[in-house]
Amino acid sequence: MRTRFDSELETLYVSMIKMGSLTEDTLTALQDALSGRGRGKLQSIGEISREIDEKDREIETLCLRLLLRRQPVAKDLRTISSAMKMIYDIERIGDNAVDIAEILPFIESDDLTLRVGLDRMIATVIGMVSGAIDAFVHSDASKASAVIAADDEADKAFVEAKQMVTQMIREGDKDAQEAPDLLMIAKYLERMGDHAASLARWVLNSLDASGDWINNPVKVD
Amino acid sequence: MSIIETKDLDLWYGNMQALKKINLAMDERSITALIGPSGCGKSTFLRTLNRMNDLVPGVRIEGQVLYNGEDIFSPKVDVNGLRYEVGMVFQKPNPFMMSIYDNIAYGPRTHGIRSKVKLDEIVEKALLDASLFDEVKDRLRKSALGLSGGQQQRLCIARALAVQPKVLLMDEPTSALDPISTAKIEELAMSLCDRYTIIIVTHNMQQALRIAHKTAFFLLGEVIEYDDTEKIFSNPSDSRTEDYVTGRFG
Repeated sequence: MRTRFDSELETLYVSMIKMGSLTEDTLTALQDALSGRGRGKLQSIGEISREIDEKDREIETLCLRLLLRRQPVAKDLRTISSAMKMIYDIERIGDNAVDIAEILPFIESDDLTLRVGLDRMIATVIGMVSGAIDAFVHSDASKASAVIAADDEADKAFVEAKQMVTQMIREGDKDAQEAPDLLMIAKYLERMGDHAASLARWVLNSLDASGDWINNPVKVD
Repeated sequence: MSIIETKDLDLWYGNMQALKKINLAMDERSITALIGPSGCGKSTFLRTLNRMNDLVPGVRIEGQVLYNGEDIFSPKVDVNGLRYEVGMVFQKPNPFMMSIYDNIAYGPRTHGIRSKVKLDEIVEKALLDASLFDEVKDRLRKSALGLSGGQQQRLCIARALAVQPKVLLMDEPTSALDPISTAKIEELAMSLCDRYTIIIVTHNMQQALRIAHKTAFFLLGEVIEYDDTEKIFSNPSDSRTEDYVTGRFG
């Protein structure tokens, strides 16, 4: 009866998955660099980020068109409105990846990123982002909730990184001049975690775990 | 507070059961929309609320319809009195073949009001309430059939208001109207609902969304879900409601 609308929603899903997968590509490139496995892929992050921006605009246009022409209600409305919020978070994660890729070349030794624990932070963030995208694709509320819970882990790792950096400065470490860059990377990673948690909340919102969608949407930090 | 409440309301047309155990309480001074696919029983339900189904041969009704706490099927209820209090507006505008003025004065006259001054007052107030006065004030003695479809429908609403009802039942009142006339009727319904209780059958989901405080979804003679309109259209509890409002069936 509503084949065309269903196929438009399918297009939306596929585009969201594509955008999510591009973001995962940027994070994998960052993970290699932050874990001392090589910085060769860092150059690709800017290009992928531009593709993410294009997807962002494409999905936004599709959502606005669906709102206008289909006047969606119920699950359709929740899916489309959540998608519009989710693409913002995905796009921000891509921007943060670019920010980190721009700072990383100023940090000469891979040792430093490992010392501050940035390798563990990026692993947590990748798990959260992939989990949120999986939760969206499979309409999996428990997976989305796990992502939200994992944000505490990312926050904790940030606090630890900050302590390490403070210690480097206090002790007059020979690499202390790189401390601000390390701290900025840690902060960007922590922000990525927040955006992943926000993504997961919008997944829950589209599935409606809140019970009162209109008056009490799932709160986003 | 509910002004009309049905309890285990069953209705049969001959052997065919059209309503099954309907339990609905309609809030006073609010708009309630009844939605559902054709043949689901929503118009039958609406017509039961002022006993219009009494006129249908072979109809059998069980259960209760309470109007202000009193069963409308009780022998002591005056059916004409009930219909004054619970007025009806139909899908197709049905003005009487008489003047605009006489259309509205008809009800009050049958009530025994003869004073011209009093009738003038009632006609003017009803037309004002129905947002029609300015458009017809200079041709009150002209035939009502000369009005446009939208004006005729508002005249029918004015005619219903002239006998000072408490409840207005509307059976797809805008389905024969253009978008502008539809918008006027919707505005009118919203402006009336602080004084009247309105129960409206509509096939237009967006109309229910625009004007109704609560919405009941009917399917095969049953109420599947009855809740705040925003809940019904954003996060319905029953998958059948979800399938209907999103256009997956019906």
